[in-house]
Amino acid sequence: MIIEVKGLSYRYSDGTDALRGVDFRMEASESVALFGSNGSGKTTFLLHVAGLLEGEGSVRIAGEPFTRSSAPALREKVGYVFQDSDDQLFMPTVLEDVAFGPLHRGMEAREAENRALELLRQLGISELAGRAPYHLSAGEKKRAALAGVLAMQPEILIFDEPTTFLDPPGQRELAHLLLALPQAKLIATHDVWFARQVASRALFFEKGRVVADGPVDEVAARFDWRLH
Amino acid sequence: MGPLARRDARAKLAAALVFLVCVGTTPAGNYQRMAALAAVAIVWIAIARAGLFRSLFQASAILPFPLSFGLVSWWVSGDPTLAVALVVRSYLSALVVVLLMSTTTLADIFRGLQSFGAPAVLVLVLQSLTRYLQVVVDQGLRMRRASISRSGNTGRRYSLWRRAGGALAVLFGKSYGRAENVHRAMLARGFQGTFIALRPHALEWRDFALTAVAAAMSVGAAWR
Repeated sequence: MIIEVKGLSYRYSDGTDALRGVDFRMEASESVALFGSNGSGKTTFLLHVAGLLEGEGSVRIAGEPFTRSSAPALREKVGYVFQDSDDQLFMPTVLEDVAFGPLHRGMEAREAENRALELLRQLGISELAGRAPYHLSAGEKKRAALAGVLAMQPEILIFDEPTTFLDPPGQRELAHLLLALPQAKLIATHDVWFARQVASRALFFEKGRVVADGPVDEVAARFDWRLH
Repeated sequence: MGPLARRDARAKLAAALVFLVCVGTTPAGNYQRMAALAAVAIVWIAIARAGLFRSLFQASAILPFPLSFGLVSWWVSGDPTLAVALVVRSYLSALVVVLLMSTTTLADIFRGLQSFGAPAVLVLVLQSLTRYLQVVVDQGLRMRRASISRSGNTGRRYSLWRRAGGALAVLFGKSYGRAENVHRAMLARGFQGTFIALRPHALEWRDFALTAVAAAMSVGAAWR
């Protein structure tokens, strides 16, 4: 199992119970979509899987539990693409931002720069290398954020509402891009079309609990989770 | 981009430090030296093509503070010399900081401070603070847009500022949330308390020359 979650519960400081005893298992070859209304616990769950929040219960990545001491090493295995790319792009230029992960994990500067340049080329945004991230379009920001995460060569990719701010062609391109990536993927989304493109399995969150787990179409149909 | 912008941040920091020491050690009442130091600052602003009037205006943002303390000092001691010295020293210091900021990116300044041996915690706090300020400004602009779109732009600044003031608590609440997300994004990508530069700069002879010339001008002006 690449991800194993047992009895995960989390309460925010304002008293909101965001997660209530969530159990989840996922194989390395899987891509799983997370459905559920706003505030149902999807993002909180993802933050736990990435080791960025610490609740009750256990989260194991490739068999190893998240603890304070193991968190930095385990975070290397998990790449998190945030919903708002502005939160994720914090360096002065796109190149520096993409190289941030490898550089802060001990890679030589030249090697980190080469890796960043190669990823920008693969994602078709080489020309943005010297640009300031906050001057980019939403689609460009999303690609730059993805490049920054891929630069860490994670085993698991987490996407929080990846289609937010993207126009339909941008959503299609992102779906193609994700399909080509070999990593295990966890994707929180409201978009059933997008989920169907990139995942075969879906969870449905309701009030901090997983209330359904199955094929994307089945789960979406059961909760009437579509636009029309 | 002026010639100063191409020089290494460490060279500029060292030159600025010498200037600040010269300003700080100029005796109160020695207006000739202070005028000479002001001339040095103006020469460097011209060389940097940083915009003389803009720089003078930006530096004046600091004036309310030394003016207040200066007035108190004058009132208490009855002698205006110290008050004038306080205002002039503060203004000249602000002027050189404005020049430094207009010719150097913040990231380079932080790297320069780090390589000068400034405590890592201090540099980290400064970096986090500037990033947080960016988040606050960005969030403020979003809220301002939202406010205008719903109430109509009256075109009166007062009205806008009053609205912004009323939403200050919300602004900081939202900014705090965004800053948390930025911090999480940094942690998720291996940040453990120290920023590492992608391209550490190597000092060139031009950088040494800049520091030497600037320091000589400052010292010459202060000890003539």
